[in-house]
Amino acid sequence: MNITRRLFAGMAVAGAAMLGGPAWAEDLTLEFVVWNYSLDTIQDNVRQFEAANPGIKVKVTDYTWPDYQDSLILRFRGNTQTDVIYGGQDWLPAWAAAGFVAPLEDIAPKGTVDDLKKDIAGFALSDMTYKGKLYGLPYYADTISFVYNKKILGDAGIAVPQTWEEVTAAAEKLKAGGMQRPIVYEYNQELPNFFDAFVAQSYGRGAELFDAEQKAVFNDPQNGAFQQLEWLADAFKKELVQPETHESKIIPAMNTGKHAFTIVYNYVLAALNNKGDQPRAGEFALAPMPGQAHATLGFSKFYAVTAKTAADPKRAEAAWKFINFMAGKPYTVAKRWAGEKGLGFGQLPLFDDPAVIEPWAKWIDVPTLSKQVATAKAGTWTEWSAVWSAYFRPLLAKAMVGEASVADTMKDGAERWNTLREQFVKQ
Amino acid sequence: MKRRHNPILTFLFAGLILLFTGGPVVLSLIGSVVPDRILLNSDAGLFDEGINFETYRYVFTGELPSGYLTEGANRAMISDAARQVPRSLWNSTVVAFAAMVLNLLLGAPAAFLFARYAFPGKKISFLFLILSPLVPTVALVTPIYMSLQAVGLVGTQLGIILVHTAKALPFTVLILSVFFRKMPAELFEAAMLDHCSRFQAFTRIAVPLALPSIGATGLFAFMLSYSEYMFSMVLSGDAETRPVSVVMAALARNTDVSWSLLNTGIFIAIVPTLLLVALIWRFVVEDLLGGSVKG
Repeated sequence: MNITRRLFAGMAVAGAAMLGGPAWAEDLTLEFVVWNYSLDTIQDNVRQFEAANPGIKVKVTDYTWPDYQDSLILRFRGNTQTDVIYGGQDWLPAWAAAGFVAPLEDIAPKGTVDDLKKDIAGFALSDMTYKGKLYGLPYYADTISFVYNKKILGDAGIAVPQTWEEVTAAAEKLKAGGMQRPIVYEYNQELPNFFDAFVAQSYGRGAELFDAEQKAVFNDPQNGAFQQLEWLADAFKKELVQPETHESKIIPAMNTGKHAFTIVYNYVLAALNNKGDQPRAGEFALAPMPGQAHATLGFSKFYAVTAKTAADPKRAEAAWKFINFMAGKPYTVAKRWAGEKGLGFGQLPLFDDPAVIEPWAKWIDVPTLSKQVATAKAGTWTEWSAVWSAYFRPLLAKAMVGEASVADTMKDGAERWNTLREQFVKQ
Repeated sequence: MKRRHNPILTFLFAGLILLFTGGPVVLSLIGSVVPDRILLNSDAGLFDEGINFETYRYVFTGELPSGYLTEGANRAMISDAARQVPRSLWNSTVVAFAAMVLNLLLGAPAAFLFARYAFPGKKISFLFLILSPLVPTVALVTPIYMSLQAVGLVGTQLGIILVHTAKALPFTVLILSVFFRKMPAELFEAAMLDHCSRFQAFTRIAVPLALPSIGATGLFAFMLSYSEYMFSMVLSGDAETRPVSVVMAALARNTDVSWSLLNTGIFIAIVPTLLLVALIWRFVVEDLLGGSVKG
């Protein structure tokens, strides 16, 4: 009886093991957390990765963009399994300092990261680097551009503005001709882009908002940022500006033909010129950012690996394979984003790739863009940037619409920055 | 002397209310059947190209609208977030229905006890329950997320159901306790004389008498859950569990959703909600108001 029982139990265990399969043959599932832009393309890229890498599955979890960072912090703090994430240049210092993410050098085969770095645009590389270590590879990298309607300017006999003063003059002329609000502006203090667009405009004037020691200097009335805020307040006061709460609303607004200028990411220009669904596709063009310097803000969003995953050799290896597939050579996925969605790229060789340039030429002047990318500068991103930006954006918003003075706003913003800097540097 | 209604004023106010409530629905319907290139072109008539249901077809089948297949088009403005709408409606319904049932199962007995019986700590526990909704939702997100993560409920419908139940429970208890309190004490005294237990008094006397109010309160809990966003967003893992409130937020905020696709999503999401409200709202109001004046 006992033997029979043992035999039966043994067979049951063996059967269960056979049914379950050996533990080492199980798929490893990476948790990939993204904001929900073009999920279908993400999922398709993931499917291609899974087909090329048997044994590794990827589960995609997405959050809306405005809730993304908070949701991700919840996942980190809640210890929710999270392997590869979309990272942002403005979040990296805080995430890295908190130990949420790990340098790619920790998980990549030796020499691979250095080889990839050679291809990445300077501003993008700067955005993905913290304390000398590279934490990501570009999902996309882009510049903020001054966009205008060629047809409207042509019909009105207005040359493409080269300075902000010329933008005002052009807008006033259009307004006198019956266009109510020639400039559409993404006016939403909740969005980090709100500050980024302001920095991009200030860079156009050649401004440096912070000195070499990362102290705020934009409160100086001679600083280009100070002057740009004055310009914005003046444009709002003259009712030249149509505020919109989100870039997605700028696309239809510009396509009504009731506005001539806007300041947006280049992928918004791709959407504006999309012949598939925009009535004025083809009318929109990018111009160098107005101002003496014509520089703009470049930035990079990137694939990063969590520190928890980097500490697990098996998951780390899979995560590197995934990141390398999504952003490494031969840049297949980056090309796809660029070609299909008009997303910018941080991998410079793509500027010479016909597979990218040919579709891009349908909606953007590539030589102008190429010059813009060459002069683009990274933002100043620190551990306290996000905290400060959340404090400063409402002040900025008030100053633009005349509810606060430019001098008070810049003074308040600079003091807050310097206070935070002192606190963080002490730590 | 009975005052007569002014029919013109009545129609005027009714018309304004209709415009305010129905206008956006009509606009979203029009926006969903007219492509962006027509909708945003002030030189073109709204129906110059007739109406088309390509965005609806895309939402339900995934087949791309013809505009995206034309030369020079890129797919920057079409996203499968819109394709999540039908599924999310079902998810929301499941979650809201479960939250409603749980609310009634837990809330009705609690309300009955609070209304009809004295017990130690009654006042303080009732106050705690009733005042708990004053805590801002955003302050609860982190501890609730971590608690649910610890028991493996993040990314599951059950997690969202439990949170929605907890959020609606204070209202359920408050509303139902008012109804139970207004029931004549003699009914329950008679029941006790007939050897009814407290539970029997609740199930055989209180519940049947308060049934319309319980139904109305349940529907209120249903609607609270159906429209909740914050917890649904952080607790739903993917499209399999995502409620409609989260999907609609994604649609409204993403750049890869064209105007007509957004309107299609809105209209598909609105129709079942409108039907639901049209069918049940009258009963909710009647029963809640009726209950408050009957004694």
